[in-house]
Amino acid sequence: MTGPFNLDNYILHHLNDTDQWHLPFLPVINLPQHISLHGVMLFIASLILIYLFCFQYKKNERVPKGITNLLEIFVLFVRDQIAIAYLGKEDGRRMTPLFCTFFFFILTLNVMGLIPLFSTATANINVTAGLALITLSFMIFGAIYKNGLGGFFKAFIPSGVPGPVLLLLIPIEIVGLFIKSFALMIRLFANMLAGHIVILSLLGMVVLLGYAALPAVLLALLIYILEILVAFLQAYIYTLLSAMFIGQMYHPEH
Amino acid sequence: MSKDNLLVEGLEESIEHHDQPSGFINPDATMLFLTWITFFLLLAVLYKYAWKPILAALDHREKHIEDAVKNADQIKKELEEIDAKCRNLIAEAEEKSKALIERSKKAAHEAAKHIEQKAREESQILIENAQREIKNEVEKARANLRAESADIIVKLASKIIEENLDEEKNKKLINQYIREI
Repeated sequence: MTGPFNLDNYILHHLNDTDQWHLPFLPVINLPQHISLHGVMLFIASLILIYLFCFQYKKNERVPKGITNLLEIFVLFVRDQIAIAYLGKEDGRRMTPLFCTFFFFILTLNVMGLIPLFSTATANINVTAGLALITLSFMIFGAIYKNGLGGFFKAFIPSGVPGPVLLLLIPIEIVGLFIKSFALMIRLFANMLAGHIVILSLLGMVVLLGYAALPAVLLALLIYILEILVAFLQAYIYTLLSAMFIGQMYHPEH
Repeated sequence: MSKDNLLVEGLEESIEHHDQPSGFINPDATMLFLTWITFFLLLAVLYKYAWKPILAALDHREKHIEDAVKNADQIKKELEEIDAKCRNLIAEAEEKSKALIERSKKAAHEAAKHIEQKAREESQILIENAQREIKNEVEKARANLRAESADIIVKLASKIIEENLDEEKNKKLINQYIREI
Protein backbone atom coordinates (compact mmCIF):
# COMPACT_ATOMS: atom_id res chain seq x y z
CA MET A 1 0.00 0.00 0.00
CA THR A 2 1.26 3.42 -0.80
CA GLY A 3 0.27 6.77 0.57
CA PRO A 4 -1.02 7.54 4.08
CA PHE A 5 -2.52 4.66 6.04
CA ASN A 6 -6.23 4.33 5.45
CA LEU A 7 -8.12 2.15 7.93
CA ASP A 8 -11.01 1.61 5.51
CA ASN A 9 -8.72 0.31 2.80
CA TYR A 10 -6.77 -1.71 5.33
CA ILE A 11 -9.89 -3.54 6.51
CA LEU A 12 -11.32 -4.00 3.03
CA HIS A 13 -7.99 -5.24 1.75
CA HIS A 14 -8.06 -8.07 4.28
CA LEU A 15 -11.69 -8.97 3.75
CA ASN A 16 -11.79 -8.80 -0.02
CA ASP A 17 -11.53 -11.83 -2.16
CA THR A 18 -8.43 -11.50 -4.36
CA ASP A 19 -6.58 -13.31 -7.07
CA GLN A 20 -3.39 -13.45 -5.09
CA TRP A 21 -2.32 -15.34 -2.06
CA HIS A 22 0.26 -13.56 0.07
CA LEU A 23 2.44 -15.90 2.08
CA PRO A 24 5.35 -14.72 4.21
CA PHE A 25 8.88 -15.25 2.78
CA LEU A 26 7.38 -16.60 -0.43
CA PRO A 27 6.66 -14.84 -3.69
CA VAL A 28 3.03 -13.83 -4.14
CA ILE A 29 1.06 -16.72 -5.54
CA ASN A 30 -1.04 -15.63 -8.51
CA LEU A 31 -4.13 -17.78 -8.50
CA PRO A 32 -5.54 -19.13 -11.76
CA GLN A 33 -8.51 -17.39 -13.37
CA HIS A 34 -11.95 -17.96 -11.85
CA ILE A 35 -10.42 -19.40 -8.72
CA SER A 36 -10.01 -16.63 -6.19
CA LEU A 37 -8.49 -16.78 -2.74
CA HIS A 38 -11.79 -17.76 -1.15
CA GLY A 39 -12.14 -20.52 -3.72
CA VAL A 40 -8.74 -21.82 -2.69
CA MET A 41 -9.93 -21.73 0.91
CA LEU A 42 -12.89 -23.90 -0.08
CA PHE A 43 -10.54 -26.43 -1.70
CA ILE A 44 -8.20 -26.44 1.27
CA ALA A 45 -11.09 -26.92 3.67
CA SER A 46 -12.35 -29.83 1.56
CA LEU A 47 -8.93 -31.42 1.50
CA ILE A 48 -8.59 -31.03 5.27
CA LEU A 49 -11.97 -32.67 5.77
CA ILE A 50 -11.21 -35.49 3.36
CA TYR A 51 -7.87 -36.04 5.09
CA LEU A 52 -9.48 -36.05 8.53
CA PHE A 53 -12.49 -38.20 7.79
CA CYS A 54 -11.13 -40.54 5.14
CA PHE A 55 -7.64 -41.11 6.50
CA GLN A 56 -7.48 -40.10 10.15
CA TYR A 57 -10.86 -41.35 11.30
CA LYS A 58 -10.50 -45.00 12.32
CA LYS A 59 -13.92 -46.37 11.44
CA ASN A 60 -13.55 -49.83 12.86
CA GLU A 61 -12.09 -49.05 16.23
CA ARG A 62 -14.23 -50.53 18.95
CA VAL A 63 -13.03 -47.95 21.45
CA PRO A 64 -12.32 -44.69 19.60
CA LYS A 65 -9.25 -42.77 20.70
CA GLY A 66 -7.70 -39.39 19.97
CA ILE A 67 -8.84 -37.59 16.83
CA THR A 68 -11.45 -40.26 16.05
CA ASN A 69 -13.05 -39.74 19.43
CA LEU A 70 -13.07 -35.96 18.98
CA LEU A 71 -14.64 -36.11 15.52
CA GLU A 72 -17.09 -38.78 16.60
CA ILE A 73 -18.48 -36.50 19.31
CA PHE A 74 -19.41 -33.97 16.63
CA VAL A 75 -20.76 -36.57 14.21
CA LEU A 76 -22.91 -38.07 16.95
CA PHE A 77 -24.06 -34.62 18.00
CA VAL A 78 -25.09 -33.70 14.45
CA ARG A 79 -26.82 -37.04 14.01
CA ASP A 80 -28.71 -37.17 17.30
CA GLN A 81 -29.21 -33.54 18.32
CA ILE A 82 -29.69 -31.98 14.91
CA ALA A 83 -30.71 -34.43 12.17
CA ILE A 84 -32.79 -36.93 14.15
CA ALA A 85 -34.13 -34.27 16.53
CA TYR A 86 -35.66 -32.16 13.74
CA LEU A 87 -36.27 -34.65 10.93
CA GLY A 88 -37.38 -37.72 12.79
CA LYS A 89 -35.57 -41.01 13.05
CA GLU A 90 -35.85 -42.17 9.45
CA ASP A 91 -35.27 -38.92 7.56
CA GLY A 92 -32.78 -37.78 10.15
CA ARG A 93 -30.58 -40.81 9.62
CA ARG A 94 -30.77 -40.43 5.84
CA MET A 95 -29.96 -36.71 5.96
CA THR A 96 -27.14 -36.96 8.50
CA PRO A 97 -24.40 -36.99 5.81
CA LEU A 98 -25.69 -33.69 4.42
CA PHE A 99 -25.80 -32.00 7.81
CA CYS A 100 -22.45 -33.44 8.82
CA THR A 101 -20.95 -32.03 5.63
CA PHE A 102 -22.64 -28.67 6.27
CA PHE A 103 -21.39 -28.55 9.82
CA PHE A 104 -17.80 -29.59 9.22
CA PHE A 105 -17.44 -27.62 6.00
CA ILE A 106 -18.66 -24.38 7.58
CA LEU A 107 -16.75 -25.05 10.79
CA THR A 108 -13.50 -25.64 8.89
CA LEU A 109 -13.98 -22.51 6.79
CA ASN A 110 -14.78 -20.44 9.90
CA VAL A 111 -11.78 -21.73 11.83
CA MET A 112 -9.49 -21.31 8.82
CA GLY A 113 -10.54 -17.67 8.76
CA LEU A 114 -9.06 -17.30 12.22
CA ILE A 115 -5.71 -18.73 11.18
CA PRO A 116 -3.27 -16.20 9.72
CA LEU A 117 -2.36 -16.76 6.04
CA PHE A 118 -5.79 -18.14 5.34
CA SER A 119 -8.81 -15.98 4.62
CA THR A 120 -12.42 -16.39 5.59
CA ALA A 121 -14.49 -17.85 2.79
CA THR A 122 -17.65 -17.78 4.93
CA ALA A 123 -17.31 -14.00 5.17
CA ASN A 124 -17.95 -13.92 1.44
CA ILE A 125 -21.65 -13.60 0.72
CA ASN A 126 -21.39 -15.69 -2.45
CA VAL A 127 -20.19 -18.68 -0.46
CA THR A 128 -22.95 -18.39 2.15
CA ALA A 129 -25.46 -17.81 -0.63
CA GLY A 130 -24.32 -21.03 -2.28
CA LEU A 131 -24.78 -22.90 0.98
CA ALA A 132 -28.17 -21.29 1.70
CA LEU A 133 -29.37 -22.15 -1.81
CA ILE A 134 -28.52 -25.78 -1.14
CA THR A 135 -30.70 -25.65 1.99
CA LEU A 136 -33.45 -23.89 0.02
CA SER A 137 -33.36 -26.49 -2.73
CA PHE A 138 -33.73 -29.24 -0.12
CA MET A 139 -36.62 -27.30 1.43
CA ILE A 140 -38.33 -27.13 -1.95
CA PHE A 141 -37.27 -30.17 -4.00
CA GLY A 142 -36.67 -32.46 -1.04
CA ALA A 143 -40.16 -31.70 0.23
CA ILE A 144 -41.69 -32.20 -3.24
CA TYR A 145 -39.83 -35.49 -3.57
CA LYS A 146 -41.02 -36.60 -0.15
CA ASN A 147 -44.58 -35.29 0.05
CA GLY A 148 -45.45 -34.87 -3.63
CA LEU A 149 -46.35 -31.55 -5.24
CA GLY A 150 -49.70 -31.39 -3.42
CA GLY A 151 -48.11 -32.19 -0.11
CA PHE A 152 -45.50 -29.53 -0.72
CA PHE A 153 -48.13 -26.82 -1.23
CA LYS A 154 -50.21 -28.09 1.65
CA ALA A 155 -47.30 -27.18 3.90
CA PHE A 156 -48.13 -23.52 3.30
CA ILE A 157 -51.68 -23.90 4.60
CA PRO A 158 -51.70 -23.85 8.39
CA SER A 159 -54.43 -26.09 9.79
CA GLY A 160 -57.31 -24.65 11.80
CA VAL A 161 -57.18 -21.18 10.24
CA PRO A 162 -60.35 -19.64 8.77
CA GLY A 163 -60.51 -18.97 5.00
CA PRO A 164 -60.06 -15.21 4.76
CA VAL A 165 -56.97 -15.31 6.98
CA LEU A 166 -55.48 -17.91 4.68
CA LEU A 167 -55.49 -15.34 1.88
CA LEU A 168 -53.00 -13.40 3.91
CA LEU A 169 -51.15 -16.30 5.47
CA ILE A 170 -50.33 -18.36 2.41
CA PRO A 171 -48.31 -15.62 0.66
CA ILE A 172 -46.52 -14.92 3.94
CA GLU A 173 -45.65 -18.59 4.32
CA ILE A 174 -44.34 -18.78 0.76
CA VAL A 175 -42.28 -15.63 1.18
CA GLY A 176 -41.15 -17.03 4.54
CA LEU A 177 -39.59 -19.98 2.78
CA PHE A 178 -37.23 -17.67 0.91
CA ILE A 179 -36.72 -15.32 3.84
CA LYS A 180 -35.57 -18.25 5.98
CA SER A 181 -32.91 -19.18 3.44
CA PHE A 182 -31.98 -15.55 2.99
CA ALA A 183 -31.59 -15.19 6.74
CA LEU A 184 -29.37 -18.25 6.79
CA MET A 185 -27.13 -16.66 4.19
CA ILE A 186 -26.95 -13.27 5.92
CA ARG A 187 -26.53 -14.72 9.42
CA LEU A 188 -23.43 -16.73 8.63
CA PHE A 189 -21.95 -14.06 6.36
CA ALA A 190 -22.55 -11.17 8.77
CA ASN A 191 -21.32 -13.03 11.82
CA MET A 192 -18.06 -14.04 10.23
CA LEU A 193 -17.57 -10.64 8.63
CA ALA A 194 -18.35 -8.65 11.76
CA GLY A 195 -15.82 -10.45 13.93
CA HIS A 196 -13.09 -9.90 11.40
CA ILE A 197 -13.95 -6.26 10.97
CA VAL A 198 -13.72 -5.75 14.73
CA ILE A 199 -10.35 -7.51 14.95
CA LEU A 200 -8.98 -5.66 11.93
CA SER A 201 -10.23 -2.32 13.26
CA LEU A 202 -8.52 -2.89 16.60
CA LEU A 203 -5.28 -3.94 14.95
CA GLY A 204 -5.56 -1.10 12.47
CA MET A 205 -5.65 1.31 15.38
CA VAL A 206 -2.14 0.20 16.30
CA VAL A 207 -0.93 1.11 12.84
CA LEU A 208 -2.84 4.36 12.99
CA LEU A 209 -2.01 5.55 16.51
CA GLY A 210 1.24 3.77 17.30
CA TYR A 211 2.09 2.55 20.80
CA ALA A 212 -0.78 4.45 22.38
CA ALA A 213 -3.13 1.87 20.92
CA LEU A 214 -1.29 -1.19 22.28
CA PRO A 215 -4.14 -2.12 24.68
CA ALA A 216 -6.22 -2.61 21.54
CA VAL A 217 -4.08 -5.68 20.80
CA LEU A 218 -5.26 -7.26 24.05
CA LEU A 219 -8.80 -6.39 23.11
CA ALA A 220 -8.26 -7.91 19.67
CA LEU A 221 -7.02 -11.07 21.37
CA LEU A 222 -10.20 -11.25 23.45
CA ILE A 223 -12.33 -10.73 20.34
CA TYR A 224 -10.27 -13.42 18.65
CA ILE A 225 -11.10 -15.85 21.45
CA LEU A 226 -14.74 -14.86 21.11
CA GLU A 227 -14.43 -15.50 17.38
CA ILE A 228 -13.38 -19.10 18.06
CA LEU A 229 -16.63 -19.55 19.93
CA VAL A 230 -18.54 -17.82 17.12
CA ALA A 231 -16.90 -20.08 14.52
CA PHE A 232 -18.29 -23.16 16.27
CA LEU A 233 -21.56 -21.49 17.15
CA GLN A 234 -22.32 -20.32 13.61
CA ALA A 235 -21.50 -23.72 12.12
CA TYR A 236 -23.86 -25.23 14.67
CA ILE A 237 -26.58 -22.65 14.15
CA TYR A 238 -26.44 -22.94 10.37
CA THR A 239 -26.72 -26.72 10.55
CA LEU A 240 -29.42 -26.60 13.20
CA LEU A 241 -31.57 -24.08 11.37
CA SER A 242 -31.14 -25.92 8.06
CA ALA A 243 -32.33 -29.09 9.74
CA MET A 244 -35.21 -27.23 11.36
CA PHE A 245 -36.35 -25.58 8.12
CA ILE A 246 -36.01 -28.77 6.08
CA GLY A 247 -37.79 -30.65 8.87
CA GLN A 248 -40.65 -28.13 8.77
CA MET A 249 -41.07 -28.69 5.07
CA TYR A 250 -40.79 -32.48 5.39
CA HIS A 251 -43.25 -32.74 8.27
CA PRO A 252 -45.53 -29.73 7.82
CA GLU A 253 -47.97 -30.70 10.58
CA HIS A 254 -45.53 -29.91 13.34
CA MET B 1 -16.66 -22.62 -24.22
CA SER B 2 -19.98 -24.36 -24.61
CA LYS B 3 -21.44 -24.06 -21.13
CA ASP B 4 -24.85 -22.72 -20.29
CA ASN B 5 -25.53 -19.02 -20.42
CA LEU B 6 -25.64 -18.29 -16.73
CA LEU B 7 -22.27 -19.82 -16.08
CA VAL B 8 -20.69 -18.03 -19.05
CA GLU B 9 -22.17 -14.77 -17.91
CA GLY B 10 -20.76 -15.26 -14.45
CA LEU B 11 -17.38 -16.19 -15.79
CA GLU B 12 -17.29 -13.19 -18.10
CA GLU B 13 -18.23 -10.96 -15.22
CA SER B 14 -15.42 -12.25 -13.10
CA ILE B 15 -12.96 -11.97 -15.98
CA GLU B 16 -13.97 -8.37 -16.41
CA HIS B 17 -13.09 -7.58 -12.83
CA HIS B 18 -10.04 -9.75 -12.82
CA ASP B 19 -7.64 -6.95 -12.11
CA GLN B 20 -9.56 -5.72 -9.12
CA PRO B 21 -10.42 -7.63 -5.98
CA SER B 22 -13.80 -9.26 -6.55
CA GLY B 23 -15.03 -8.22 -3.12
CA PHE B 24 -16.89 -10.09 -0.45
CA ILE B 25 -20.37 -8.66 -0.88
CA ASN B 26 -20.58 -8.19 -4.66
CA PRO B 27 -22.68 -10.90 -6.20
CA ASP B 28 -20.25 -13.15 -7.98
CA ALA B 29 -21.60 -16.15 -9.87
CA THR B 30 -18.17 -17.77 -10.14
CA MET B 31 -17.81 -17.90 -6.40
CA LEU B 32 -21.33 -19.24 -6.07
CA PHE B 33 -20.67 -22.04 -8.54
CA LEU B 34 -17.30 -22.72 -6.99
CA THR B 35 -19.04 -23.12 -3.63
CA TRP B 36 -21.56 -25.53 -5.09
CA ILE B 37 -18.97 -27.55 -6.96
CA THR B 38 -16.74 -27.81 -3.92
CA PHE B 39 -19.58 -28.58 -1.58
CA PHE B 40 -21.13 -31.29 -3.70
CA LEU B 41 -17.78 -32.85 -4.55
CA LEU B 42 -16.95 -32.86 -0.85
CA LEU B 43 -20.36 -34.26 -0.01
CA ALA B 44 -19.95 -37.04 -2.58
CA VAL B 45 -16.44 -38.00 -1.48
CA LEU B 46 -17.24 -37.85 2.22
CA TYR B 47 -20.52 -39.70 1.72
CA LYS B 48 -18.79 -42.58 0.02
CA TYR B 49 -15.60 -42.77 2.05
CA ALA B 50 -16.53 -41.23 5.39
CA TRP B 51 -20.14 -40.74 6.41
CA LYS B 52 -21.43 -44.09 5.21
CA PRO B 53 -18.80 -46.22 6.95
CA ILE B 54 -18.72 -43.94 9.99
CA LEU B 55 -22.47 -44.00 10.52
CA ALA B 56 -22.57 -47.74 9.87
CA ALA B 57 -19.79 -48.25 12.40
CA LEU B 58 -21.62 -46.08 14.92
CA ASP B 59 -24.82 -48.05 14.46
CA HIS B 60 -22.89 -51.26 14.71
CA ARG B 61 -21.23 -50.17 17.92
CA GLU B 62 -24.48 -48.92 19.42
CA LYS B 63 -26.07 -52.26 18.66
CA HIS B 64 -23.08 -54.03 20.09
CA ILE B 65 -23.29 -52.02 23.31
CA GLU B 66 -27.02 -52.63 23.54
CA ASP B 67 -26.48 -56.35 23.09
CA ALA B 68 -23.68 -56.32 25.61
CA VAL B 69 -25.88 -54.60 28.18
CA LYS B 70 -28.68 -57.05 27.52
CA ASN B 71 -26.21 -59.92 27.79
CA ALA B 72 -24.86 -58.54 31.01
CA ASP B 73 -28.38 -58.41 32.44
CA GLN B 74 -28.98 -62.00 31.46
CA ILE B 75 -25.67 -63.09 32.93
CA LYS B 76 -26.51 -61.24 36.11
CA LYS B 77 -29.83 -63.04 36.33
CA GLU B 78 -28.18 -66.39 35.71
CA LEU B 79 -25.54 -65.60 38.28
CA GLU B 80 -28.22 -64.82 40.81
CA GLU B 81 -29.90 -68.14 40.10
CA ILE B 82 -26.62 -69.96 40.49
CA ASP B 83 -25.97 -68.09 43.69
CA ALA B 84 -29.35 -69.09 45.08
CA LYS B 85 -28.71 -72.68 44.07
CA CYS B 86 -25.31 -72.53 45.70
CA ARG B 87 -26.77 -71.18 48.89
CA ASN B 88 -29.41 -73.92 48.89
CA LEU B 89 -26.74 -76.55 48.39
CA ILE B 90 -24.65 -75.15 51.21
CA ALA B 91 -27.66 -75.06 53.53
CA GLU B 92 -28.51 -78.63 52.62
CA ALA B 93 -24.95 -79.75 53.17
CA GLU B 94 -24.90 -77.97 56.49
CA GLU B 95 -28.07 -79.69 57.56
CA LYS B 96 -26.72 -83.03 56.46
CA SER B 97 -23.48 -82.53 58.25
CA LYS B 98 -25.33 -81.43 61.36
CA ALA B 99 -27.44 -84.56 61.28
CA LEU B 100 -24.33 -86.63 60.73
CA ILE B 101 -22.57 -85.03 63.66
CA GLU B 102 -25.65 -85.50 65.80
CA ARG B 103 -25.83 -89.13 64.83
CA SER B 104 -22.15 -89.74 65.43
CA LYS B 105 -22.41 -87.96 68.76
CA LYS B 106 -25.25 -90.22 69.75
CA ALA B 107 -23.32 -93.27 68.63
CA ALA B 108 -20.29 -92.16 70.55
CA HIS B 109 -22.44 -91.52 73.57
CA GLU B 110 -23.92 -94.95 73.33
CA ALA B 111 -20.53 -96.53 72.84
CA ALA B 112 -19.25 -94.70 75.86
CA LYS B 113 -22.21 -95.82 77.90
CA HIS B 114 -21.67 -99.34 76.71
CA ILE B 115 -18.02 -99.24 77.62
CA GLU B 116 -18.83 -97.78 81.00
CA GLN B 117 -21.40 -100.45 81.63
CA LYS B 118 -18.95 -103.13 80.70
CA ALA B 119 -16.29 -101.60 82.88
CA ARG B 120 -18.72 -101.42 85.73
CA GLU B 121 -19.71 -105.03 85.21
CA GLU B 122 -16.13 -106.10 85.04
CA SER B 123 -15.22 -104.20 88.11
CA GLN B 124 -18.26 -105.74 89.83
CA ILE B 125 -16.98 -109.14 88.87
CA LEU B 126 -13.52 -108.24 90.10
CA ILE B 127 -14.94 -106.98 93.36
CA GLU B 128 -17.03 -110.07 93.74
CA ASN B 129 -14.05 -112.24 93.06
CA ALA B 130 -12.01 -110.32 95.56
CA GLN B 131 -14.78 -110.57 98.11
CA ARG B 132 -15.08 -114.23 97.47
CA GLU B 133 -11.39 -114.67 97.86
CA ILE B 134 -11.41 -112.64 101.03
CA LYS B 135 -14.24 -114.75 102.31
CA ASN B 136 -12.36 -117.90 101.41
CA GLU B 137 -9.27 -116.58 103.10
CA VAL B 138 -11.28 -115.65 106.15
CA GLU B 139 -12.82 -119.07 106.13
CA LYS B 140 -9.44 -120.64 105.74
CA ALA B 141 -8.05 -118.46 108.48
CA ARG B 142 -10.99 -119.32 110.64
CA ALA B 143 -10.46 -123.00 110.01
CA ASN B 144 -6.80 -122.68 110.75
CA LEU B 145 -7.62 -120.71 113.84
CA ARG B 146 -10.07 -123.31 114.87
CA ALA B 147 -7.57 -126.07 114.41
CA GLU B 148 -4.90 -124.15 116.16
CA SER B 149 -7.15 -123.15 119.01
CA ALA B 150 -8.13 -126.78 119.41
CA ASP B 151 -4.49 -127.61 119.63
CA ILE B 152 -3.95 -124.87 122.15
CA ILE B 153 -6.90 -125.93 124.14
CA VAL B 154 -5.60 -129.46 124.16
CA LYS B 155 -2.23 -128.14 125.20
CA LEU B 156 -3.81 -125.97 127.83
CA ALA B 157 -5.92 -128.74 129.04
CA SER B 158 -2.93 -130.97 129.34
CA LYS B 159 -1.10 -128.21 131.14
CA ILE B 160 -4.00 -127.70 133.49
CA ILE B 161 -4.15 -131.32 134.14
CA GLU B 162 -0.45 -131.32 134.75
CA GLU B 163 -0.68 -128.58 137.24
CA ASN B 164 -3.73 -130.01 138.96
CA LEU B 165 -4.60 -127.04 140.99
CA ASP B 166 -7.69 -125.80 142.75
CA GLU B 167 -10.56 -124.43 140.86
CA GLU B 168 -9.71 -120.85 141.48
CA LYS B 169 -6.17 -121.34 140.41
CA ASN B 170 -7.43 -123.15 137.34
CA LYS B 171 -9.59 -120.28 136.41
CA LYS B 172 -6.72 -117.90 136.89
CA LEU B 173 -4.46 -120.05 134.89
CA ILE B 174 -6.94 -120.44 132.08
CA ASN B 175 -7.40 -116.67 131.93
CA GLN B 176 -3.65 -116.23 131.99
CA TYR B 177 -3.14 -118.64 129.12
CA ILE B 178 -5.90 -117.15 127.16
CA ARG B 179 -4.29 -113.73 127.48
CA GLU B 180 -1.01 -115.24 126.53
CA ILE B 181 -2.32 -116.63 123.33
